[in-house]
Amino acid sequence: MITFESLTKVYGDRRAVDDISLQIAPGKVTGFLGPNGAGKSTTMRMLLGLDRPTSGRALIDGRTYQQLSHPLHTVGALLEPRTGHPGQSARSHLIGMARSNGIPSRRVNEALSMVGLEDVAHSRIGTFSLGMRQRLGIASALIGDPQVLVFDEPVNGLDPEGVSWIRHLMRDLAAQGRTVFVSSHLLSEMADTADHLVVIARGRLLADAPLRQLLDVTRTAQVRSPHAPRLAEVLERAGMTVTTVADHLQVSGDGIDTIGGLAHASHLQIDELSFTGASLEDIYSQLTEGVTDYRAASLPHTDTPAGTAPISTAPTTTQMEDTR
Amino acid sequence: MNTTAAPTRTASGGGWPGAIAFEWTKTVSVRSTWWIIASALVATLLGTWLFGASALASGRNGLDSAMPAPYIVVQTMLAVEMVIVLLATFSITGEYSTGSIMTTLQSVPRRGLVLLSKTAVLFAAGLVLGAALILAGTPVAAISAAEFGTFEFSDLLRAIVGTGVGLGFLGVFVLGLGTALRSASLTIITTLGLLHLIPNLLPLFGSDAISEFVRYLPNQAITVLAVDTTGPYGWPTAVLVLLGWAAAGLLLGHLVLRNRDA
Repeated sequence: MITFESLTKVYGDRRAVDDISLQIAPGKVTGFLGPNGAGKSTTMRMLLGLDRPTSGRALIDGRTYQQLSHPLHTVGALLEPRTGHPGQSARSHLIGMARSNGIPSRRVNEALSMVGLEDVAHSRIGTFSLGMRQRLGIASALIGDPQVLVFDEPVNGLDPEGVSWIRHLMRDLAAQGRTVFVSSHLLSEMADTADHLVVIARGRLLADAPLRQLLDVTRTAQVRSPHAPRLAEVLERAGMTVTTVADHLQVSGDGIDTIGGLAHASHLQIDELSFTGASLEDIYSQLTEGVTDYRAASLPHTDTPAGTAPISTAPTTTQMEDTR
Repeated sequence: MNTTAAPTRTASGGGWPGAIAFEWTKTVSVRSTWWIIASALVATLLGTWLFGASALASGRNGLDSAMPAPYIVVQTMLAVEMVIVLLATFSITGEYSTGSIMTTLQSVPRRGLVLLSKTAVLFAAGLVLGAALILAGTPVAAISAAEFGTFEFSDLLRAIVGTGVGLGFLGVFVLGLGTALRSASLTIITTLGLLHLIPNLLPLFGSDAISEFVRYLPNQAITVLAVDTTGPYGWPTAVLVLLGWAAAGLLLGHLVLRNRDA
């Protein structure tokens, strides 16, 4: 369990991380999403005690990182591909870490084979490719068999095989009941991996919700029904936003299963019910609109269907309830 | 909420022995360490041979150049001490330039403990290297200086222990300085200035107070410690002086390490 309490980091007059309060629960993969420069790495560095918060706290199981007596048993982290000293062999890098936390040296071999580096265990880290360094970073994170894992952009520089390997690894770690907190600036990565999304931009928290719910809330459903006016009334009463366009309704604010269920309960016939257009990219651009300067250039802007209700008017923080 | 096993796990080991073992592993597993030590050995043997040969030549020309062989080796130490300066510098600045400081602080998040572990390893390294280099150089000096390099066992012991302790303290001072400056070049330049430049420049002012201060610089204290002659002060003062430099460096380094982001 990771807890951020009003975490803030100020550099000069720039608020790199701005009053973030959040809990990251065990047993799932939590994606930490935001454009480059949004404050993801700074947040993670504060969590690991590398940077000191200007105010607020970052806690792991209720303690700060510096209060952990054997931190590698509690938290494993991959912060950037520069793991260890380039003049050191992969093996001696891991042995040093193991010794510092009283970890038996057989774990070094286990960790090396877990990431497929046993053949290059005695090679110097300086000779490694970016992908190999990422794997070594993962081995470093896993060496103490920790319950909390923090990965900063873990798939950067990996080939497709490596990307898929890391995805499966993160899913497995979460399935074992561990807390997996992984940052990315790419939505597509998160769509296949994360159960839960935390979105930040310019240091501010924009959303904290299950991936599914974020998709449902922001996507727009197309509904065709011979009883359109009555159905619209029912859906609006349930808190959804309904717009009538030509012969169909555009509904946002909930999933299609809910829409179908309500129609069924009201005995209203439905001829068509489908999600259109909006994707994770739309959620992202909606969330970060007005909050970030660097949005437009980096994000492909798909057409946002008319009538899509913004889930937040920036820069107000939107915190959605976890209904899980 | 958290029903996992983490909080109930009883981890053993680690602590300060673990932190020291970690630093030791890093030091000996990096190749540059061994290059630096090998260069120091070569420099000691060559330098000692030259100083010994010079003592012999001067002596045969009737000059009073006789000196116990271990003290001839000590003369080369004023250059060869770079071995511990470099090891201490890279021990910390290398962490920042390669990013391995993140691995270090993730493994040992208490920064004071990181600095103390490095202190222990560098003091031990200085002690052993200083002693070993004197030991290795003495036979060379004895041969090249011949009858002008005869020595007693007590001379050898003084040179070994004095040089070892001196380089140990020097390493700790440089570690502290490097922790504060975080840059290899700045650390080495500052150290060289303090060891070689300032002792030669300050007396030019001709002020007694300044000349008195020069006597308490690290190199002057190391010489007092390693050579048993009538110096400006005795070895106990020399130990205190070096302890003072080491403590001042460490304090400076600790303040920066504790307060600055990694």
